Amino acid sequence: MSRSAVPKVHRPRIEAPGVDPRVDTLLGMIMALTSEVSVLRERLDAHERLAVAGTAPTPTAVDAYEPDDAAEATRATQRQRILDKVCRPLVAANSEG
Amino acid sequence: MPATRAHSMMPVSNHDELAEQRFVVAFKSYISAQLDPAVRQLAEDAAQAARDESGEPPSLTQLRPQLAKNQLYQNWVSAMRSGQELMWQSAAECVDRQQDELNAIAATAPAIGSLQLDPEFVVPRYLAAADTHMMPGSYYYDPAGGGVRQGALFDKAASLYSLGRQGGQTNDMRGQTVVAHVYERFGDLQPTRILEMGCTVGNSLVAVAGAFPQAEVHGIDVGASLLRYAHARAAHLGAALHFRQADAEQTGYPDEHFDLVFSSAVLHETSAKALPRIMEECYRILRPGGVMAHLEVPLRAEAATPFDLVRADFETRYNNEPFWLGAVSADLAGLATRAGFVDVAAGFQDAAMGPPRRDVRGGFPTANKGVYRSWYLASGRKPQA
Repeated sequence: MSRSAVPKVHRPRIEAPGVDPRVDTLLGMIMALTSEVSVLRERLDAHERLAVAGTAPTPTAVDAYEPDDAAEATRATQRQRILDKVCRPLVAANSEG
Repeated sequence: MPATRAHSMMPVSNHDELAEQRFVVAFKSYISAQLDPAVRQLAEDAAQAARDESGEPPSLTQLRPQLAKNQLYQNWVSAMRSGQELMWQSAAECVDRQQDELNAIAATAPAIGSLQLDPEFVVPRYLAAADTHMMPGSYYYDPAGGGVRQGALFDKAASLYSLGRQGGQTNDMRGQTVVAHVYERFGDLQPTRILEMGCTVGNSLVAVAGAFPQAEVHGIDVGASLLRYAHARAAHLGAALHFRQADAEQTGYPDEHFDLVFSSAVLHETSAKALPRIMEECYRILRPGGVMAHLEVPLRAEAATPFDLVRADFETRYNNEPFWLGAVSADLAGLATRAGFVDVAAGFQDAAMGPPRRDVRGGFPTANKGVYRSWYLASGRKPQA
């Protein structure tokens, strides 16, 4: 392995029998996208909470914002709701395909 | 996050990074809460069908084609691997943003312990063949110009991987469990020199060093970047530990050098050929009366449920742990005996949730209480001369 390039890939990535590689790719993309949505929701939450506290939601203020326990509990519920919604079809697929 | 940072080498997450890491952890928890039970049922159904047909306990060879047909199983494999890949990606983003800062913090570590790297070191073939746990660059990638990047990546991701169930950010539950096991079985041992094989970033080694403050404590692993981080991490925690880049099959230490040699969840990352050689090397470098202890994952093939087998199959094939199934099937006690050890025992040890007390014993072996509650331990003593 080159000492200079930061490795980005996981090798080897063995395909599982029965798993359609295109579906596998899409699932990976959808979960990556969902993580971005979840992060965006939390960034928006930081904006709103800073605004309520009378603090300007500058990039620095948002980056430094740390949710308290109550805020984190609300975020955890939101995160769970997003996961339930996005992943429900995975669980529902309990049949031979 | 800074408020909960356990030591100064742990990469700090900013707002968005922490949000992403929490998402990954929630996704992994979602899989185990929502998908695992359904896959468990599928595995049991497939096992029952195999038993009905052949009258024998089913093997993975019989289970695999049954499961492969099922869309839920396919989704489970994809989701599991996606969770693992997102974990590495989110940890890497966080670490790479602050590589320079982490290298600077490493440079300010107290000058205690030692670090010995070998530019000619050859990574064992079994580790070079695959990125263990799907970690890009695995244990041995070394950034141009050196640095602690790969160790930071491992430490950050490990604290996510176990969802905080292996001792939080110090991730030292396995080390504490090794200490509990040594107290339990070799209560008289007062080691003056200790070695951990495959110490990675020193999570377990710092814990073991804390239990035996009089001992000189050494750790070996295969990656330069990993070991730079381990040395700086330990020093910032006030632990004077000695790290060296070396191969567990041929450590290069003199004969009869150590009183205690241990490993922690490492044997399953070796190979069928390496495993007996590692036991022989432990024997060589231990003084007569010295103790060898290997901690492994709390699963034994002979007692595995159908879902345990399917889960082990995932680790082996799709999470790049090629020797996982081999190690949980291996007769570790038999191998230790063949290497010359006496007073050999193997079984489940209760996980230690903090530094164990020498005078409080939980018994050994105990029942397997499951992942993060029990570990499998195999240990023995080199005969007195």
